[in-house]
Amino acid sequence: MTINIVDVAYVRLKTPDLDGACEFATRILGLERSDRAGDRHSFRSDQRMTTLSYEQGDPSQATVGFELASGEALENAAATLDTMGFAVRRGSRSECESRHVSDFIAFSDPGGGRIEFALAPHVAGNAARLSRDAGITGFSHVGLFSQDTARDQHFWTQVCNARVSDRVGELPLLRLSQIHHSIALVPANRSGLQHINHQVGSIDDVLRNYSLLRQHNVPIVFGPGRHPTSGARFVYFEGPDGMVFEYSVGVQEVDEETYRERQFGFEPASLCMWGAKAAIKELSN
Amino acid sequence: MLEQLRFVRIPVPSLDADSSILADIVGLEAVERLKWCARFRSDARAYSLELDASGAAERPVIGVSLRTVEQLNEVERMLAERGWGVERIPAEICRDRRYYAGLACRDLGGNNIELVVRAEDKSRRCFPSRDAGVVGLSQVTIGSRDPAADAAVWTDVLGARIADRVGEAVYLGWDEAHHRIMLVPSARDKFVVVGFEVESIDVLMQSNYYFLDRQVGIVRGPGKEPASGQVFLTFGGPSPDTYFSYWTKSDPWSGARRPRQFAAMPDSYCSWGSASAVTELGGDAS
Repeated sequence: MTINIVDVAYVRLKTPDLDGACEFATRILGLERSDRAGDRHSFRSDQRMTTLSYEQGDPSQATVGFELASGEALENAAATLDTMGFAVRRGSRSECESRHVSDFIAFSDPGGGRIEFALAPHVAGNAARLSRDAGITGFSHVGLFSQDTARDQHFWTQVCNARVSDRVGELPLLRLSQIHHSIALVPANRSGLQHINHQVGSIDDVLRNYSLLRQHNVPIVFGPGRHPTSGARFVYFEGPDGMVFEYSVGVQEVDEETYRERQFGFEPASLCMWGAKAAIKELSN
Repeated sequence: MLEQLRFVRIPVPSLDADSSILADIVGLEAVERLKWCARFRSDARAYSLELDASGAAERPVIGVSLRTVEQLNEVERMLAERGWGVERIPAEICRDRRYYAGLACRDLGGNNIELVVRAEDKSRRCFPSRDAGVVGLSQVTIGSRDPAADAAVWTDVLGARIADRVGEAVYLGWDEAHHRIMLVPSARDKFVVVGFEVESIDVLMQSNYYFLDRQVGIVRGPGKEPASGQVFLTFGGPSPDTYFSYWTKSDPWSGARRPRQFAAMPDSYCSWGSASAVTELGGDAS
């Protein structure tokens, strides 16, 4: 039975320098520091209680959490994954609390990336109080490294309910809702989390953030630019431990009935119609 | 009374090198090449930019159109009374410059302002050699020793309005655009920024990367002007004091609005926080 994912919900990152990472998340990225449980610091970007967290550890062990629609969907997902031979682990009560979700299961995707399917990510009555005026409207999508895009695309689109919106060369952009993409599968010789996207309110926010990042000597790895696929105006930059973050605005919405996926050539103009060149190994050959 | 910012004439030492900048970099259409001048189109006008290698003018000339010869006659005396130098342009020269009649003026600081009537348009659309998305000549920035005094002549005699101020600088407009002329304090006699409206942020940003690839000197932006809401990209022209700028369409002017005073600080020139290498426009004094 197809696993019905509603949306991307959270990322859980590990870092050897917890103080530095928390400093980045608030002072540079602009998130609200929401709570601290033990050695884990959680951050808010929107109405949700938390969408990003850092704890002490190995940066390659990042986890991406997705929201499923119901308890029934979660049980079905656990059964499906189990049948397929994935080692599925049930989240404990305290683990649920630290994620601000009602329930979740954890497993490793076909490439070994840590994935969680969660139920009912909790929301607060108020929106996030951003640490600075970054214009962030919310955590929106992730890029995942893929050592085998055919295999991983099969997992996300056949085992799960993702749909291909566009492809740039062998890089598929997958949607979970009307939003053009929630997952980008980036061909690479590794697996795991490739980038973390936050949407901002306007193009002014993208460019103002770009200036601020430059002032703080944050490495800009792509942009400012505009993706011809989703139409989003973006800037990509490097955070702690080489993790790439993105601010973007204006991702197009897709009409499920009429939209047809497109194939773009793997060339710089397919990634940025303004002419920016990516300084990201996997996006520039 | 003022109708349209009509053209800019820029004195240059030689036509050859500078002509190619206008066609290949700025993205204008080269239309006329005479012995001492070269003309370029940006829109329906016969030309909106002229390079002048005759040596006749030392400083750039800003052409602004009025509707009628009667208006021209009317302002001739009034401008002279306010301290402008005013000369009638002989009919033969007017013909050559493709307008019916004109006054060659010098403002209080010596800027050349040409007031003209019935400047020619062309029936064929502009067909530039580079797709820079230029929509047309839209605005100029010129230097002034005393922007307040210069602006008073524009408003009192020519009917311009003050849209906003940044420090001592004054934005002057007269139509639906936020401004057409910006007077900025400058010690440079030949200082001019010739501004062309482009169709979108997309083409402006494409030019940004096109210039970076070709090492065209960007001096300001990409940025956004708080007063007009226009996104801009400013780059070097044929001489050290001449600049070109692309601008997106300005916020529409509302007659109900009061002129604002922006503080004389870099943020007032760019709300995105872009760097400026132009002292007159929020750059560090060099």
